[in-house]
Amino acid sequence: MSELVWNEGMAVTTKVDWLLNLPRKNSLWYLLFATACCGIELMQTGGPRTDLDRFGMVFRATPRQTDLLLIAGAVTYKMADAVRRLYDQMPEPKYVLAMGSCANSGGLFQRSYSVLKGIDKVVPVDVYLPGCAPRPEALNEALMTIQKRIEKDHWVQRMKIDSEKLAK
Amino acid sequence: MTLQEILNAAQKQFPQMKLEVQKGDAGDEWLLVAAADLSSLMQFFHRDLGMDFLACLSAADLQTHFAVVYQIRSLKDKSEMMVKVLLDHDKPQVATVSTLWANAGWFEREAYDLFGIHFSGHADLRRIMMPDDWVGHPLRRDYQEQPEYHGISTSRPDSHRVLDPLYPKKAETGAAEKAE
Repeated sequence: MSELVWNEGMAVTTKVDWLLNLPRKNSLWYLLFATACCGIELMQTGGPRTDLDRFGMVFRATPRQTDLLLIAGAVTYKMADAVRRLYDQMPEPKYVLAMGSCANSGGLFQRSYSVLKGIDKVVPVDVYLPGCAPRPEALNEALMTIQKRIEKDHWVQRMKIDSEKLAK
Repeated sequence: MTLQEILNAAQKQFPQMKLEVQKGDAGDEWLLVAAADLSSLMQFFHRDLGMDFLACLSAADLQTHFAVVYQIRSLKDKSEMMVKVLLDHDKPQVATVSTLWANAGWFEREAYDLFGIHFSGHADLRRIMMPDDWVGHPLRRDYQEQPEYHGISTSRPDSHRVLDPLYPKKAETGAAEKAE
């Protein structure tokens, strides 16, 4: 909380980046998108023991309301197009977590004719979570890693770059 | 009904057909049927012997031939039989049984998708598992994987090659052994 400085009277000064990132990292809504057995661990993580709700994380059934694409499980080539489309439908800023060996690299099925060899071939991945399947504690840590990643976003700088791009 | 009894009944009905009971190593036995006879024979099993349930339809690539295997059952007298048909490898084609057992429709689509076997008379023979624009039939022995699908590469750097410092050494010795 050192970023907040209470001035005399009513005014508070703080950093814009810090202020923007604070709600973003504490309300990570994720897309309800479990493709395989990792989805079971994902459900378990949402349960009372590790309790995703205390991070402000709730699942959403539409990509248009989500910040985090949490890919839990193997993705086939047939599904890859759908993943890409879901990612495109998510509003910025968006983050991707590849959960489990299959999402990371194809895992157990990487010699298969139908399974995508890692989700990073379709969408950019922020955090890779190894394991088959990762325990809820591991998923919890990966989500906290995403939160740390969000903390480091520089929005003022990014907006400046975007406006310069638009001007060109 | 044992398989021999079924064979006798079928032979009585169709005296000109060449039917044969074969035995596998595991003690299983099946009726081997010519592809041209399959349609009328299956009709006979379904209508006259009360084989009202198709439990499974599968296929195999035997390199010289394709085999299509039918598991059919009679729920009434609890008998079961296996029927096999061998198809030409260059042009695998056989009559559909989806007109007798409706669930054969999806089984046949699967066999078409993964092996490229054509079931003539099928109402809607298209791929069921792979994407519609997929090239090739993946469970064929001579299947060649395409380098990419919709711009997505279908290969990944070999993890042994990347992580194992001894990998090139191992590969070379392996190659040398093969050459000898």
